[in-house]
Amino acid sequence: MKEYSIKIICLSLLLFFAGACSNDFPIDEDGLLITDREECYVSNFDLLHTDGQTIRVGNAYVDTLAQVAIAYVRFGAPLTTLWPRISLCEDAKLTPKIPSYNGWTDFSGSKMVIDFVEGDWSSGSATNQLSERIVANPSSFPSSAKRYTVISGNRKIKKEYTFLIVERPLQ
Amino acid sequence: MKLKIRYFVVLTLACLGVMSCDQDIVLMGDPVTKLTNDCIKRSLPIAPNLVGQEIEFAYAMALPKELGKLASAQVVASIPGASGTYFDPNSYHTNASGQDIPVLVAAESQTSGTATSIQFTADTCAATLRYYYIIPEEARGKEVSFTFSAKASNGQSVEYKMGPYKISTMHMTRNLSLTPDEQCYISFRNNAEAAVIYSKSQLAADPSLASQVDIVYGYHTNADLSHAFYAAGSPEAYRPNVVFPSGFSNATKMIQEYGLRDRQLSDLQYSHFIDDLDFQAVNMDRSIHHALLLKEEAGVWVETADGAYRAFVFVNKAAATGMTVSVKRYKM
Repeated sequence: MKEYSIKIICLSLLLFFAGACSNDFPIDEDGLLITDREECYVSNFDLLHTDGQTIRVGNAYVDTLAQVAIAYVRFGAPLTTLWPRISLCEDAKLTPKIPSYNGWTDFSGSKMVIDFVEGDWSSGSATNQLSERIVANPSSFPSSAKRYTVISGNRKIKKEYTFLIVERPLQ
Repeated sequence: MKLKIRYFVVLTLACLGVMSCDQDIVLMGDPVTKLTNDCIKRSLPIAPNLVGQEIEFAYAMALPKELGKLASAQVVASIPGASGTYFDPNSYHTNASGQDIPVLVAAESQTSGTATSIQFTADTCAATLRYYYIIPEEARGKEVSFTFSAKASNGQSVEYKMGPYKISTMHMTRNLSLTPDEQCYISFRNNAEAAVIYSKSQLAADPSLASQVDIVYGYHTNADLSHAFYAAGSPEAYRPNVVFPSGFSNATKMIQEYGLRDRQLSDLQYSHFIDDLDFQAVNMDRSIHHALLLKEEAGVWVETADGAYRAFVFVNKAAATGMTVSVKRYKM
């Protein structure tokens, strides 16, 4: 009886290991796992200056329905050499890629020129009123605005986001 | 049976003991029978050797007591040191709490030309002397090497060569004070100094100085501007109330940095160093013509409009009354 149970345990362990070794998820051309996640969105957007410090003021505004991300930056921040930081949902990837070496990018084409009205700014940060007004009028987006495409974890869904920069008035 | 085993063990141990006692005591190295010496460079090996700064060495010499005592020591540098080059007449040892304790062993050192020599006054057969070489202007961009030598009372002498050491080409000027209303024009074109500050009244007296100015400093209470550097070509919207002197047209290139804390610029804090090579290697493609929001420990890479000079300006202090900056400059 005792010998019999040991044999069963050994056999089941062997099966268990064999099962663990099988590949459930394939790997894409970048060596990343292709999973079954269908989420596909940008969760945050930040811009770093040559000194490694952020030029953003307040939070970034991301509208996942309109596929627009807006960074509000301080007055006078140079836009020609910025290192973008774009956060994505789990397992998603970005194209074109942001290089890990020398990722300086010219974002001057993304700068929105917009007339501010009362209530757009509150203690140096943009309000939702301003963000919603910008997103509601896609025809006012600069044509040279930077665009990046998010690809979902299952690599089947692709969404192109427009990245905009709004310079705050002098504080 | 048991007794036999015990007897055997005791016998073996005794044999082993006799065997191990058989060998004579042997010294690890040869006994010292003459005057010997050694030398180390105490200045950090990675630190650039700048003109006007010192290179520090510790030179050790000793001979067996029964052979005599130390008589004199000498250093010959390949390029004569600037004034202030000397041998410290003290020999140092380190006490239990890690502090250097000086013991006076020699008379004041004498420097003439390339040679610095010192005569021992104490009856000693071992000493470590510190030698401070002040890098002269003649050595800029060249290599310097040193020959240390010592003599003992029995006539023996020894020699130790150090180097060559590369002397940096760059200039360094520390603790320049900038004020927004008066001392606000920076020039990197002086032959002797890394940077020179011109005042508004100097420019009013001699308007031709405007061509020497590379950067105009301004300060605003606005959170977005604060301490700022401007060159010709910076947007007017970003420099309210900052008036450029007439004839100022140098579109100086600037790249803002933060946390690049050079040890020599920051008064011996931190352990980064900016050397000649960094000025050659820095990529000025990312440059613009203004730098806003400068704060303490921030810095700016600068290239003059004609490309003749590159500099790094480090902010030591930033207050509402102005800034204190230190500059390293390299002639391209």
